[in-house]
Amino acid sequence: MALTQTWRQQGTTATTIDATDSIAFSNGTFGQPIQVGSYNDKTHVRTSGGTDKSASNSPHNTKYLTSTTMSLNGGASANLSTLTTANSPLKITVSESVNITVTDIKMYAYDGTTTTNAPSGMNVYLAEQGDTSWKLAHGSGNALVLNDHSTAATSHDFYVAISASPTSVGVKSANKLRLEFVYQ
Amino acid sequence: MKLPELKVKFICGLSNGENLIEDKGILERVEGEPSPWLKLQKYVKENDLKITSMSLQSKTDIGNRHYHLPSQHPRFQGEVPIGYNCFRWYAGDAVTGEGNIEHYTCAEAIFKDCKVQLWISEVDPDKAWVNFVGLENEESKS
Repeated sequence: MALTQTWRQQGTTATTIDATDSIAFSNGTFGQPIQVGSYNDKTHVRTSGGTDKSASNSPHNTKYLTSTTMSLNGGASANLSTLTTANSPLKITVSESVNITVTDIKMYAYDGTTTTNAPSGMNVYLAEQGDTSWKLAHGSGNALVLNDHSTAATSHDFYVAISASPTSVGVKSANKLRLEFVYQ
Repeated sequence: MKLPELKVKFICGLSNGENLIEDKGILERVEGEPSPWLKLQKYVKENDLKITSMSLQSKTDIGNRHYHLPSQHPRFQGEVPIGYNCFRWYAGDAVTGEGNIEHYTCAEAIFKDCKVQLWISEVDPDKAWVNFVGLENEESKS
């Protein structure tokens, strides 16, 4: 079997983010915009047809408050470091039929065209579960670095918090999230 | 998202005269067992062997191609490596489409102060690049 990568948005149940889906941020209601300078109150999985794929799964939302704090699912301010694997919005699984190590892992947002560029018209903060502070992960040169998985296994799970804020008015669908890693 | 099967394989010569090919013989890819590269590391260590040469073989539409790193008996009066490494590098957009995927097999000949990398695209195995990395620069990045 070849290498497989699965992205899920976690909630009461997980929603698989398929290749044609996108991650959609809202002000609390699917499809409703976030004001410029504010952050996401809900995170959804949006199908290419524009429907809320995660509607029945109560997807987890992490909202950037300060560089070290968040609001989880609309709750009070909490240290980012208290986020659990189960409550992390994103679960990324890298698997193979044979035991592999996964190292040098980077994740970042970009404008969808040039990987060194920042996303257009929005700020995207990422953190690996257990991190104490958010990373403004804009372009490959400012990526979030995830912990190496140096113990060989057939499956490796990575848990990531994400929060986004528009810096200008308009839909930001050209921006993309990118993952890089080495495996052996 | 599942990536296509690997098209580029490593081939290693060992100090006992053996030649091992990824996915064949003791480096066979068996579900639940270590990857061929990790199997090779274990075999070399347990038998007190050294890797003496390394090459990559890519299967293309017009036949197999072989790309060789400097060996312990280098041609063209080159330097002798002190070690070898092989890994795969992947980069891809997480969502909103399967486009813009980069997937390479990289073999490295390691020297005292640098390493020479041979990169072959798994997406288009007709394409190969040679890269030179100073180890001092690499250490200063970490």
